Amino acid sequence: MSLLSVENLDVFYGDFRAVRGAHLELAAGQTIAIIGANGAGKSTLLNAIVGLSGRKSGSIRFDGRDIGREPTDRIARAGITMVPEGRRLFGSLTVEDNLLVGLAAERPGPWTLEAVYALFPRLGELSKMTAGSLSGGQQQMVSIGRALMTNPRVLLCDEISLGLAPKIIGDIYRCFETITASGVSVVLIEQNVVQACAAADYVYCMLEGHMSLEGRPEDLSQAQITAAYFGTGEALP
Amino acid sequence: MTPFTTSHPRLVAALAVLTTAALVLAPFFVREANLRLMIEIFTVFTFAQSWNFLAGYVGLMSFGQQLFIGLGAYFVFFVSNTLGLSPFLLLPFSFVFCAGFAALAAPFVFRLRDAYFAISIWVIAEVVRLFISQRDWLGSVSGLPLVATRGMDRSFVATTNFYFAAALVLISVFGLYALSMSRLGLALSAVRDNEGTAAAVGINVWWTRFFGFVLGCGIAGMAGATYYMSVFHVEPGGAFDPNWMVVMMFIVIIGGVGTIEGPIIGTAIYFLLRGWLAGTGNLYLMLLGAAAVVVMLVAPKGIWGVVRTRFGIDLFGTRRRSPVAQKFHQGVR
Repeated sequence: MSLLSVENLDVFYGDFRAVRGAHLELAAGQTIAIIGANGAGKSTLLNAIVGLSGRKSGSIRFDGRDIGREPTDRIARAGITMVPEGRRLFGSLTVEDNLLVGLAAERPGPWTLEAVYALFPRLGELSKMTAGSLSGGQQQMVSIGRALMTNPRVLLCDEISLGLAPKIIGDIYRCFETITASGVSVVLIEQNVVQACAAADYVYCMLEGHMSLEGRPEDLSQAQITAAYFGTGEALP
Repeated sequence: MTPFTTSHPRLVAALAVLTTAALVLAPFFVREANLRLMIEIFTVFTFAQSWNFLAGYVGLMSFGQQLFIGLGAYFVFFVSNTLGLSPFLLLPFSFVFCAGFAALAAPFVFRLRDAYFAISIWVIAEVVRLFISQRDWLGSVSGLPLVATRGMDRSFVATTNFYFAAALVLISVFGLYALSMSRLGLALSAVRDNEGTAAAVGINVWWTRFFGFVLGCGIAGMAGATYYMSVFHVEPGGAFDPNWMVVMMFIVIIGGVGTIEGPIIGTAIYFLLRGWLAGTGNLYLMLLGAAAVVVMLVAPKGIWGVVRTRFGIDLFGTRRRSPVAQKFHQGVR
């Protein structure tokens, strides 16, 4: 049985249906990626899962339980958290305080301050700096670290490579081996198709609010992905 | 690059002990008239700090903090006069009464955001003022005297009030420091900085904000009661005067919002200006306003913000913008 399962999900911004009948399945220990162009509904889908979106209908089940109406903090305490798009750090707090906020989920586990500093040694050196004064890559590490401090079962990552240098992106993605090895299941949102296919066991492509393509990365051709990504021609597998 | 020392808990603890000792001994050395001035300074500082706490730490901008000043005062005066109880005994309960009032108002005012929230509390303050003004049993427009203090020794009253005012100062400086160092303080800062993300890591945003609101309003109420007990009379026009709000904002903005030190500096400046400009009549308010405008233009983070950036001093500094972040934020704007 899948750990997180979304079926027939619609999400609305006012009258606009940003997500239309979307679905996804995440098995325990798996890493999946959702790719798609700007405005395809990827972030909206992720926000809907953690209860940060507007009106929605459909089913979101976590560990067999319907979480569609749960408030965001309860979902976090149940074990789903996110690394939001644009990092969204607590800008006035130090790096260490940002990480400590993750304790609010009250989920003990392998991810402690020491474990996060072991994963991102640079953060240990910067622990007393204010989060707002860090570089983009460092901020992304804080954002991931803060999410890990909640010891999530499911980690939703919204465009962690956005605006970062390729070398930094590589460094950050390498850390996901350690993260998944600790038992965390991961959902990645990416515009970078190559990065997504390299990191994920299973890939969904979103187009205009629904899933236009899905499959294991090795089973998908470049042409199929291009068609599903941009909505050109036949996109069915 | 030198990492910033974000706090000095031992230094603060030593300072707390020294301040407490000085405040305990003060009535033995200070003349009664000066004691009364100190009560006024301490309570006005606490008003400002309560608003600073709401605006700078909880992220709730209110334009109606005078509501709790008046409510706290009226609670003590009315209950003391009616039941014949000692006002000093009732004073701690003015905190409970005002915190309770805030708790009941919260479900309604929390539905409003930003400017609407700010105005809504002002509206409640006006409604309460008008309600009291039209009730004879609450003294209507001419207000209530504090009957219980009539037979009391004036210097005993002044000394007792002084100790309550001193306790409020200790709470609003060192209590706020302790709170900001705690996990709850961390949650408050997180909610203020970014409520969506705070929720996404498991913080209950509503209850965190509720706690901050109730606490800030309760402290303002107790300070209001202390202030009016030291003048022996309360009337609705003065107790619920929006001018209280102006004074609080002047002190906090001029000193530096979101800092513990800022309102201390702001209060000192406010009382110094008031002393110097006392003879200037209406010009006094214009000069006060001009001073606030100049500080806002020259130092948007307040005087303490300048001191901190220039000299790198950060006495209570924890969980607030450090000098580097400040430059960073000014740079991007």
